[in-house]
Amino acid sequence: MTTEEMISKLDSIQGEAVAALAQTERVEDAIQVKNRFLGKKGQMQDVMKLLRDLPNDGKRAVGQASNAAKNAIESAYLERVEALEAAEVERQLREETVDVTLPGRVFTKSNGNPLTLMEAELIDLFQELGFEVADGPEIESDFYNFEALNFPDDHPARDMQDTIMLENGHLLRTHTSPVQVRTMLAYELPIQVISPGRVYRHDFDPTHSPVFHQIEGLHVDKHITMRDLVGALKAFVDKCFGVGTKMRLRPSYFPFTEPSAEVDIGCIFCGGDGCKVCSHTGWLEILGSGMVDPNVLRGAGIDPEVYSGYAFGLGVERIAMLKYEIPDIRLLFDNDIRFLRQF
Amino acid sequence: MKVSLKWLNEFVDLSDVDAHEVADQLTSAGVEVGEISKFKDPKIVVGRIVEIQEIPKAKSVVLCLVDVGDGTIRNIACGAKNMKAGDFVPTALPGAAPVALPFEISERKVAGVMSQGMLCAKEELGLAEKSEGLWILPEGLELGTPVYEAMGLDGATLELDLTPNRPDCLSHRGVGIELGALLGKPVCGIKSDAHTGTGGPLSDVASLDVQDPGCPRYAMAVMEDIAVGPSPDWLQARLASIGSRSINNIVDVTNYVLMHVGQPLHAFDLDKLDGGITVRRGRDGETMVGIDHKEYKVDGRDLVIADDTGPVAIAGVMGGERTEVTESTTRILIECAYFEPTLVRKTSKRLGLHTDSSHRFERGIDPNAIAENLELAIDLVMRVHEGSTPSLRTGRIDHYPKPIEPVTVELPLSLPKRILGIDLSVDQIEGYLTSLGLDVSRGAAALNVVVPTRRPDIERPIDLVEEIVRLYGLDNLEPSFPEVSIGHVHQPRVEAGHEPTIVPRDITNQKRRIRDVLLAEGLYQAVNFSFTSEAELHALKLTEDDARRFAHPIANPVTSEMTHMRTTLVSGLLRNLETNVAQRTFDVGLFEIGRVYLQDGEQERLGLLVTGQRASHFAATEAWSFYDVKGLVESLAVPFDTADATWSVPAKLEPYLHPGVQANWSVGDTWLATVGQVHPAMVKELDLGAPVVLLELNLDGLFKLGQRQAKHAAISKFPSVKRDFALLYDVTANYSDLRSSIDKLAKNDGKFGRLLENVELFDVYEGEQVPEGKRSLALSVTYRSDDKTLTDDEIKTADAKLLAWLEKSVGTVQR
Repeated sequence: MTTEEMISKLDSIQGEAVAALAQTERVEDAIQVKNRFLGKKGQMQDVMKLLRDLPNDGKRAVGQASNAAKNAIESAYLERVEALEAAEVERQLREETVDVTLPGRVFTKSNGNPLTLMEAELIDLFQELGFEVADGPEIESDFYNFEALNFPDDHPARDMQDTIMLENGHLLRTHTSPVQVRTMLAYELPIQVISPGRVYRHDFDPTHSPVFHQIEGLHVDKHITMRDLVGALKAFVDKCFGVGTKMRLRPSYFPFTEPSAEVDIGCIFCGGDGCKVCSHTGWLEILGSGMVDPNVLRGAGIDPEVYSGYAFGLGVERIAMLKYEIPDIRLLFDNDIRFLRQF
Repeated sequence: MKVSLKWLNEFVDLSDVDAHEVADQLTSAGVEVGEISKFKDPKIVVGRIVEIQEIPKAKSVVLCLVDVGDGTIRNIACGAKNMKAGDFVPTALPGAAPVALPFEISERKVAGVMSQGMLCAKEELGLAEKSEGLWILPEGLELGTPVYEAMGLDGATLELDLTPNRPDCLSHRGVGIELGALLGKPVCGIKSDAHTGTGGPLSDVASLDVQDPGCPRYAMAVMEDIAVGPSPDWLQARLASIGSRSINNIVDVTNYVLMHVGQPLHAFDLDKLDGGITVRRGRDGETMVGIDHKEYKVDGRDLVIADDTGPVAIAGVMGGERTEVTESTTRILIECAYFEPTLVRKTSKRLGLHTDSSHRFERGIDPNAIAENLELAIDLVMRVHEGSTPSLRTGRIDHYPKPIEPVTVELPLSLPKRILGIDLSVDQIEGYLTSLGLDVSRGAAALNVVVPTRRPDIERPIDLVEEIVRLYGLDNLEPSFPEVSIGHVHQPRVEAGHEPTIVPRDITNQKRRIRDVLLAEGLYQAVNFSFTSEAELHALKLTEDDARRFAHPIANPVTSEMTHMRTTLVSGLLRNLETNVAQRTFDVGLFEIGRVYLQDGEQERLGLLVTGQRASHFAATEAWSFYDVKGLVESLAVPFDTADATWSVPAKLEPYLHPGVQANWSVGDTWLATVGQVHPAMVKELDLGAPVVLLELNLDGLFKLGQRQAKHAAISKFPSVKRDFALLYDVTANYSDLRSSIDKLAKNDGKFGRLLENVELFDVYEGEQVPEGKRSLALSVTYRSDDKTLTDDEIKTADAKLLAWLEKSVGTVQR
């Protein structure tokens, strides 16, 4: 082959290769095409085997032509691959597109039981106010539940708390106050604790449950006054129901405190104008409180001439029912998932 | 208790105070007013029957022509029999709504004639529980005026929710004294005329023998020529105003005195008394039929009033039927006494007989008002007779051998400030106390306060502090905040010996973490009552000797489903499952954190129940399995030192679980948890298609393990080698044996142990290509050295050692 023939041959190979590459639809095909022309046993190589028969200047010319052809094929190949890859990504994107508005896969279904949520919130709140958590048995003796709390035997005050008795003579604590007695007996002063837990009364209707939860607070030290009680209650009301919630104290009677006070907050539903929830009084009763009775302190080995203290107690169900607008206490213990999933 | 404002007005002038103001004042002083009610209906007016006509063909109804003073005569059909032309009657016009009727009055046809209203009985107006015939009003009332107003019943009534420490407020007089102090107004005494008597001496017809100290005071009077009959209108109206039913004039007097001054009285029919009055204990075998016609057994625990035949009253609780005042009674003996509160309370409780009388006696009435109250009763009996005058026997019996003296309380002047945190002048303190009727005299550093016996709640200085702050106003106490002591930690008492009560913050937090993990896993938190019942324990098929059947039976269960304290959380969760399945909820995941009550104490536990789909999603659903729950236990245990805890097949199987799908988790002798699938027979009873998996975990035991003490170990710089093996293993053999066998090899053979990094089970297969009775376990074993890259030879040696060891120790064969 002459130099011219070879150059023309290379030219046509280049043309053929570029055309073939343009025809390919997959990256693998493009590689095959490229190898067919540029590979060790490719057409280009076949032509170049004839190079040695050419004169020197012909060799140089063909060499240049072959380099040009190789480069052209190489870049046609790269271009094609890039185009094919881009198309491939396009296709993938098109095919993989989903309806992102379909629901996500959720495991968690609830944020918790309304009762335990409320209890945890209240415990946190009082811990922030400096109270430590104290705990004791639910099956109690008459001593810790009544006697040590200044409930005289056969006194009408015992009717305030209808008691569930066990056959062995023990009772189910009617309040968490026995924990206060146990704490006063077990620790040095000052004492500042809350006692959350289950309590029991012989009562069952839409507003009374035989099992319910209380949180009681106790603070005993030198120089504790009823104004400190008002301060603690105000901090609690502000934190729990919002700063500025109205609060009032009414004198009341509990055997273990003297003076005693019931605490009301301005109705959070009607703002005090009167509604069904507050029985048109504008007030909601939320807790009982008072100054620890000297008899209770004395019974716990604390000198009431030197120390004084306040105590308060609230029902967790009561607060949860107010906060979540739950009309019937029994809903809290049915454990119907249709109810639980609302929280 | 109900009090009427008009009635209170007899003791303290309330003409310029409105009912709400009175209610607020009382409430803020601790005498809580629950409800204010008022009788009011302008459409029920005074009418006069002009004429009564028969209605043709109607037997039970007549037509009354009624004049209500507006110029028209109305035709009103009426079924009553007791009226005649000229009678004044309550007339409900269209639009009226008599309180005891469920509908509004309108013009309507009765027995074929148009009736333009309704003539009312007391019952319909809410003035009596039961009444016969129309309420015939006094003549001469102005026609057309509303009846409640015309009869003086339009005043407000307050419902008081009294605490048990305030027996003094169980009467209008007591509430009046309280209001006087609150409003700064004078309080009137009891108005009654004195009667010495015109009959013969009382001692001729009555005698008293008090044999028991449970009756510190007993007074009596005798009245003759009594005419038992209806009470005068003013008395009926008074009783009606507080919702009390009029019975007859004598009984009404006793009820009136009760509500007026808080003194329970009893009137005996003197002619039915057999001999004199004896106050003594009941005798074994004695019974008394009460005025409620029920028979009561009394014994030595009870104080009774008796005549020669037997008990005629249970002291302070109820009178007897035998000596009850009836319409034929002409001579009465009035008892006015003070009984020991505790004694009355015990009897009342034991007999289940709570009366207005026992309510007051057990809280404490004023023993020093007896004589005055008896005179009040005598005067009232005189006043409730119209047209005749009873004759009063001269003299009274008043047995009061040891007068109960008023208590003197010494109030240190420093105490109000120490307890209340407020500065009060001596004048202020004295002012508050005297306004309540207490007698105050000043000492050097204290006030000496004489407390009248009508206030048995005031015995100690602190009780006076309460009175002071009640009148000062609790709402006037400015909040104060004690100085915060940073980092206060409760210190156990030196001489202690008492169980600690403080819960470490860490335990509270761990419980919350467990809750949070389980909520995140898609479970709901349940809260069940702490009770169970024989039936529920029976349903768990617990054996007869299972301790869980016996612990803590309840003496007075609230319902038959609450007869025992729960000894497992499982029964409650199964109950919840039933509740949810009944609502067609079949995917149920619940847990409860709570106590069980065992014979040797209370234990905090976690209970968990799952069934159905764990997560329901269009892309994939996933059913709950035994291994999910077992895995949850291991997730929950991550923070704790569980190195010594092991899983095993329970030595004693739980009868309510599948015998082949239950496992115990324990450390030493301490039981930590049981996981298992509910017995298929029980699942079938519930009509559930999917298996139910239960967990019960001993939280106290878990917390006792303590925190896992994490320690860093250097991570090897050299590459690891992963080797996969398929081993044939007996289907009946436990994987845990195989796994612990590998650990044993690693422990015993130091060279192998240093190379072994991890063993993971990644497949368990039974079926084709696996011989009968075997399963194929696919293990992935990771080797790594701390100081070099492992060679092929070293790896092959380790493999061979492992396989040979397993074949020898647990009988596996490589596939």
